[in-house]
Formats: sequence, structure tokens, C-alpha cells
Amino acid sequence: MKKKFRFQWGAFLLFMLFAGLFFLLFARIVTIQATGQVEGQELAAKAAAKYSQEQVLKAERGRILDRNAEVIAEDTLTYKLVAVLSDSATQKPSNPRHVIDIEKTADVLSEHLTASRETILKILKNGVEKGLYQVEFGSAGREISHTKMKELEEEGLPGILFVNDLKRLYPNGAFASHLIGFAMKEELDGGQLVTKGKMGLEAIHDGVLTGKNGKMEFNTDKWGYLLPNSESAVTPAVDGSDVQLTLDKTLENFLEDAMSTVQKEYTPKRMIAVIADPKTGEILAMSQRPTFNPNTREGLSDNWLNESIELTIEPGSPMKMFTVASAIEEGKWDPDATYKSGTYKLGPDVIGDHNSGRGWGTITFLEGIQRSSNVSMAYLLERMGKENFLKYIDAFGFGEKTGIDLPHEASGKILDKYASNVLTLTYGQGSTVTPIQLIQAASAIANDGVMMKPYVIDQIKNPDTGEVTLKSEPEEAGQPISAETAKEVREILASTVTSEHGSAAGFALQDYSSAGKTGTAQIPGEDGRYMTGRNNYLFSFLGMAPAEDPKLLIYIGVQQPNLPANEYGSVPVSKIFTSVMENGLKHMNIEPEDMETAKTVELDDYKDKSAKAVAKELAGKGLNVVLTGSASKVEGQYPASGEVVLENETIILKTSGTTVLPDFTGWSKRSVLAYQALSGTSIQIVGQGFAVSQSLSKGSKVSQEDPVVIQLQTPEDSYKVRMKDGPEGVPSAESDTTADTTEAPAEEAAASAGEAAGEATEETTEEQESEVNTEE
Amino acid sequence: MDKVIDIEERIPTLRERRKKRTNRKFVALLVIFLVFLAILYYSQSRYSEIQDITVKGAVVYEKESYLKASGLVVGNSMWSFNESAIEERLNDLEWVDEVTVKKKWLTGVEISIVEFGKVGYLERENSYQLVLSNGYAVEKPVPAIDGPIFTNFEDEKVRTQLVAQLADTNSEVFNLISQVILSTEETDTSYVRLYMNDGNEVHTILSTLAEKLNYYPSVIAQLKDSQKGVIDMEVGIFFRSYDDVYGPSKEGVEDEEITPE
Repeated sequence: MKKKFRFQWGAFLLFMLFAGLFFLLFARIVTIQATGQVEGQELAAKAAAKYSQEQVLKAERGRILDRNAEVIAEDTLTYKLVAVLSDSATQKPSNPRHVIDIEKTADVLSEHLTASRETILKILKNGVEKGLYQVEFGSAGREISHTKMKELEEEGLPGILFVNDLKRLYPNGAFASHLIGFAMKEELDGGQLVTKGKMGLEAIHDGVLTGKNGKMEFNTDKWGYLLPNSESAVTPAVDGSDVQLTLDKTLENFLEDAMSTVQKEYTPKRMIAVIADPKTGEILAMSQRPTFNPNTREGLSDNWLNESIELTIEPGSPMKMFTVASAIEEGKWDPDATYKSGTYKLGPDVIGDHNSGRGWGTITFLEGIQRSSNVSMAYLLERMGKENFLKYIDAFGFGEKTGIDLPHEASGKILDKYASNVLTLTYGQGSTVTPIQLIQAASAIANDGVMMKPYVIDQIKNPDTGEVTLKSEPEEAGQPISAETAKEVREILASTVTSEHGSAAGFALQDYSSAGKTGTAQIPGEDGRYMTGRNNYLFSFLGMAPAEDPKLLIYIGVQQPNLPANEYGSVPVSKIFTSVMENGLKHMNIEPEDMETAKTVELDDYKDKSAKAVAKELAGKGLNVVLTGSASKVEGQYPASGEVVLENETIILKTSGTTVLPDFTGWSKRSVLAYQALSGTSIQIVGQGFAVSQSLSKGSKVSQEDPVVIQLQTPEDSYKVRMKDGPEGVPSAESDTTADTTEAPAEEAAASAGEAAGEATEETTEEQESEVNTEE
Repeated sequence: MDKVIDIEERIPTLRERRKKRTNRKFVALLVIFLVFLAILYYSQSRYSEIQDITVKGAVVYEKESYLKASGLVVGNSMWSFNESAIEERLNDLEWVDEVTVKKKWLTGVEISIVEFGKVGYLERENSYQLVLSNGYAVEKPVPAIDGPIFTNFEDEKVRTQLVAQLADTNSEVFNLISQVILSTEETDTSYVRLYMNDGNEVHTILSTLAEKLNYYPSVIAQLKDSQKGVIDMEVGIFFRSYDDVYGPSKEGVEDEEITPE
């Protein structure tokens, strides 16, 4: 069968219309594609010019962190305040974009900024007169924090703008400042601002800290919105690596605080302190005075030396611990042997003990070291022989750099040319050492003979890439003495602290044993001769604690303090030592060993069991059981089953029936609230802390509607009341069972009286009155 | 016309074959038609609609609120929703930890919800809000309180920190905490004061709360009977009786060290 084709005009016309339109569109596309021109304009160029933008992606400078990743230095976003003055900035009068009311602006700004109203007003007026487009406010308008910026924004001042600004921030203020150093903005040739390390670790590791700026070329539409598919043009910024130190922020803070206190009190010319972990050689804290605040660089003098490693000193008596250690290792130490103290003659030279060479008669060598006798050292040297002694000095690392991971380390100079040089070296005069050398050498004594190389950088790691460029491990620096010798030296040093004639008696700690050696070293003056005068010494202490198993090793040097007439030079040193060590050890040694622990009880599900039996069972386990009603079956419990509780905890069992109030005295808020929830009574709780009184006394029968008011008081308040008013309102967890003599007998009595009478007594108000009375 | 005889009629086998083919075509068409019909019928019938929705694990909020949040209504088509979209929607609720939505049989939908666990209660002026283990404070009145009470923790950031710390405390210690009060003084470190059920007070720093508080049982085990006081866990761990701390200042009050070396 053949189909008959019928021509329809309507359909044909419609077809032609659409085909034509399609053709037009197609032709347009082809022409644009082919010529790239629209209305005679080069399209591609126009689009690029209009939408393509390039932006520098700023890399953040790496942070400096302490051992627990607490921030020591970091980049933070701050804001710079700019006031636009020109009215050309404003397009619509209804929405002003420039400062209109100068007076008001100055008023508001002076409230938030450090600059005075007059200064701000002057700057603004000056700008208007000169027809400037905008003005800035110097240091007062820079480094504005985010919160302050928000506050200012809320004021809604027209024409006040904020410009982002990255700033190097040192949140701890003066904090190991000569070690950390500082970084500041520097202008490059191209006028670009770059943060650059200028001193200390910031300068040493400037390379790794500085990141690599990236760049982003992106396309936006005409409203500035990013167009899709333009990611390929992004070169990401690589932030600088984080430098993690071995420093402990808390310890460093303890040290800085203690040193600042001493600085204020004694204004010494110089102070140096280093704390290390003798087991690993990690430097935990390092500081010196004078110091400076790296944020403002206030207090920064010409002295940029990190003195702990770059300054050589004649150490004085702390050196004696190494002389003794050498003698013990050589088997030349006999603590009970005696010698004649006072003076010692070597050829033409005569040395004397520190009490002007008078000495203490014939004493034992042990007493000699306890009294810090120079003559005893001379005899030890005589027994050991010069060469032997120098061998140990060398083994302890003196005269050589320790190799700490910091540049410009000094090596000190050991004088051994003349016999008298070696003689004075036994008690630390003549030859020079650095504080870090003393720390390294003493680590052998603290760490059972094994000397640990000091280091401050734990690792350098890039937070973006995860790449670790440096990772330090504890490194041994030799074993100058045996473990037994080290132990014996520690015992001798501990005796200088504990013995009756110990020179380090002021260095005893309250809760820990300590060992160490004080020093009063002479300092060469400008003319090269030792200075005289009672303040002109370097007072120092090289010590460790706890003596049996040292966890912290410390060197403290205080040079030329202004001592009051009745104080020894070791007093300022001991003030730093005791506070830093005591707090530091507590901070570190929170791990108690083999400690007794309160017993715990795991709760079962007591639902539907006999209340009496459960109460008896739990009471037998040392828990306080409270029932909410008189019925015999348990309906609910607090805490829930499966929970583990400590002895003496209050357990609430829900039983139905009439609620008889317990004595709430000493109950915590949580327990009272739990009681309220389980019993369904309407208890009103007033205050915080522990219950001191209740509006209906113990034993009162209450229904759901009876309001009960329970007054709570913090121990702080109740003890203040008690001190003035005798024993009242004292919280006690188990007042039913163990009301000891000091605890609330009045309250007890009142409660039991109430119970007997079965009546409610209004104690809350009474007590409040009595409180008021006692205040006066 | 009478002379023309269709060839098929003349050859019976051909006719047979043709009939078969026609039959097959017809059956195929019929099947397609029936399937369409079935689909049409199914989509019109109640068997394509949600008949019952079960919600499992609703504790903090009632089932109804989850139903409402899911947007599912009994009578909606079983094909009108996407399980993962509903899951996403429910997961957006701040108190929901995990959620799975499953179709069950022809007409059932099962929503199983895991809410964040209860940690404690935030004290507001005159009311309490339940605080969940992600730090979220539930905005509805609390019927019963059976956990520690937090004061001054209106700031969600600090609250989240607290909740994270409490998650690390041992349960016997956690059960002993009555109140946690954040110091309102403006400092870099957040100091907290805890009142314990046994009548002691603990002062500590929020960031080390769990680590320190887990020593609490050892600390109280060393105290003499019924001695109450302040346990300072800010730096080390010290105990001082209330007399020493809050009583009138005496000369030479000294800390009693709790932790031996």
C-alpha cells in the first residue's frame, strides 16, 4: 500500500522559519570563530584585558614552636587603618565613602587607638588642607588586631578603611629573646615588603622559615566573580617551614619570670641561664639579661650575642665538680683524708682559700669541697698529676665547641702552659669556658657518665608539604667518667647543699633533693686585672635536681649584682634556682609512680530489685545510698548501670511512695539535681557549690508540689562565713556518718531536731540574716 | 479477483508460520503494554507510597522532629526521594552524629539515627541546656539532669574544648564532677574551677583538664579522712585544705606536695 504524501503549507513555513533561525545562529558562530572579531574589535584581547587578573599568593613565614608545639613566633594578620578624605571616593551621597565629620571621627578613633584625639584631629585636618586622598595614622593605626578592627567597623564611620597586613608576632614577649631573635619587614628593590630574620634563630633559619610566594592568574566576570575552569593558572604558595625547638614554654616562662624578678631587685650587669635535660642534651630554656621584647625590640642594645654559647667566662668554683670527678675516676679521691686548708704554695705562686686564705684548719677533703676550698683542689691536682687532669678536662669537652646547632659558638681557652695555669683551672680561674660547655660537661655527671651534646632544634618541618628538612636525635658526646663516679660526684654535690658547712645551703629545694656547685668567680676588669669590691664577681650555680636521678640541669650566672649589705652573692642565684627548679620539676613530674588509688565500684542494673537489699549491698561497697521514696522496689537509679564510681559517691535509687527528704548538707549541685530528677520533687536550687541548708529539714515528708529550697554555697564563701561565724555551712560529703568536730554540728543538731518534730524549719532565711550580721 | 489466490493460502505451512509470527509480535506487544500498565497501576496504587516510617535512636529529640526534618510524609511516593539526600539533610542537624536511611520492603522507610552522646548541662540564667559530645547545646528545656553542670561556657568554641577534655577523663572521675566553672577573667589560658561530688574543689587549666584530673582518685586516696580542700592542678598537683586557702591568712602556709618524685 502506498502512502499518499500531502503537502501542508503551514508545516512547511514553520520548518523554514526555524531552519532559517538556526542558520543565522550557525553562521554567526562560524564567523566569530573564524575572524575572532566582533564589530571590528579583537575579542580575545578584550576578554583577557577585562577578566584576567594576576594576584600574588603570599606565603606565610614559618612558625617557631616549642617542644609541645606552643607558638613562640608566628605571622598574624593585623590591620592598618586608613582614612579616606577625598569626596571623589563617594559616588552616592546616601552612601558616603569618605570622612565627613572630622571631629566625630577623631572622637571615635581616639577611643580605640592609642593616639590622642588632638593628634588624630591634626592628621585629619592636615590631610584635608593638603587635599590628600587618604591619610594614615603612623604606629597608632598599624597592627590593629582583628577584634579591634571589628569594633571600629561597628562604629560605622564613613571613609575608615582597613588594609590587611601580616605581622610577625611573639606572643610570649621577652622569651629566650637572644636565642629566638626577631624578624622584621624589609623593603626589597621592587618596593615589595618582605619579613626577614634579623637576629637569632629567625636569622639563622631565615631560609627555611621564609616561604615561596605563589601566584594566581585567574579569570573573573565583569562583577569580579571567579570564572570556572581557571584553576590551572594557580602556582600555589609554599609556606615557610616550622622550626620546632626543644625549649619548653612553661619552663622558659618560669625562668624568664624568676630572672626578671632578680633583675628588678638586684640590677646585675648581666645574667645568663640555661636549663637542659641531662638525659638527652635538649635545651629546655635559655635566657639572659638584659633582654628585649622582640615585638617592639624595646630593650635591645648593641649586644646581640646569645651569651650562653657565645660568651666566654672564667667559671669559678663550678669547675671544682669536674676536678673532683677526675680525681674519683683516677682513684685519687679519699673523702676522709685530711689536709691543711688556708694556702697552697706552688713555686713562687701562692693560692688561698676564699676566706682571705685563712682556711678552716685541718679538714677532710669532703669538707674541703663542701666549703669550696681552693686548696683542696690543689692537693687533688697534686695527687692526679697535671697531664692526667688535663686529659679529663679535654674529655669533658672544655676548650672545644660543643657543636650545638647554633652558629658563632665560642670555644673558650684552656690555659695549660704554666703549672700555675693548671692549678687555677682546678677551681675555674684563668681559663675560659662557655655556659653551654658547663652544661654539656655536667650532663656527664647527671647522666651516669655519658655526656650529651646540647641541641635546641628538634625538627624543621614544612606544614604544607610535610617535608622534614631536619630532625635531631640525642647525641652522645663521649663518656669522660664512669656511672659510679658520676653517682658519687652527685652525692658529694648533694652534700654541699645539705651539709652544715655546705656552700650551697641556700639551694635546697622544698620537695626535691638538689646537687650542684656554687661559684664566686673573679672577673677581669678593663685593665685585665681582677676587679675588687664585694659586688664585682660572677656569682653562679651549676646544679641539677633531683639529685638521685637528675631530670633538669641548670646553669645560672649573675654578674655584679647590687647586693644589700647583709646578703651574699649567691642569694640572687639561689632565688632563680629554687623557684625555677621547684616549679619546673612539678611541671614535669606529674607522673606519680605506684600511687595508691581510691577504690572504684561498677554499678549494676538495680531495677525491680529490692531497695533494701540493694542499699545494703552498695553501702557494703562504701557508697552512700539515698532512696527517693518509701516503696520497696527500685524503679530507677543514678548513676546509670555500667557506670564506674569512686568510693563514698552518692547513689540515688528511685523508689515510689512518699518522699522523705535526706540531709542535703554537703551535697553537690549535680547530686541534688539528680535527686530532683529521680524523686520528682520540686526542688529549687540557689547558688553554686555545695548545699549548706534546706528549707524543709531532713526527714520531712514532701509531695510533688511542696517546694523545697536548697541553698548552695561555694567553699570559698562558706569558709569566709565560717571563719567569722564559727562552724556553719561547711560542706561535708558524709555528714551523716563522720561529722568530725569541726564540721557543722549546729547544722546537724538543727536537722535532727527538725526530724524529731517532723516539721519544716526555715533555715535559709535565718542563715542569710546571720551572714549579714557577721559582715558588719 | 477470483482468480487471484494468495500464495499463503495455497501453502498451509506458510500460513502457519505467518500466524505464529503474528502471535509472537502480539504477545510481545502485549507484554510491553502490560508492563506499562503494571507500572501505571503501581504508581497509582498505595503500594508505591510510603506506608510507614520508623525512626530508631531518637533520644535527644522526638521521632516527630526527625520525621519533620527528613521531609518524608506517609503517602509520598517511594520513588520521590533519594536516601542519601535525606541522610545529608538529617546529618546537617547539629546533634546528629550518624544517620542511615533505608527503604524496607515495598512501602517502609527506616531512619536510624545516632545522636551525639550526652555530656552534661550548660547552666543558663534560670535553665539548663543539654550539652552533647560535639559541644552542641540543645536548645530546648531539659526535663531531668543527671550529669555535670557547666557554667560560663556559652561560647561554643570553649565548650567544644571542654567536651573534648571530658571525653578523655576516666568515667569514675567524670561521674564525680559536679560543676565546671570557667573563670571569667580575660586571660590567654582558660582557667576552670571544678566542684566535685565529694566536696573538694579543683583548680586547673582547660587544656590539661583530662590529663590532670585522671590523677584525682590517687590524690584523694592520700588525703586523711574527711579532709576537704582545694586541689590545685594548674602546674603540678597540690592539695591545700579549705582552711589554708579560704580561711584567714596565716603565716607560713605551705603547700603539701601530693606527687612524690
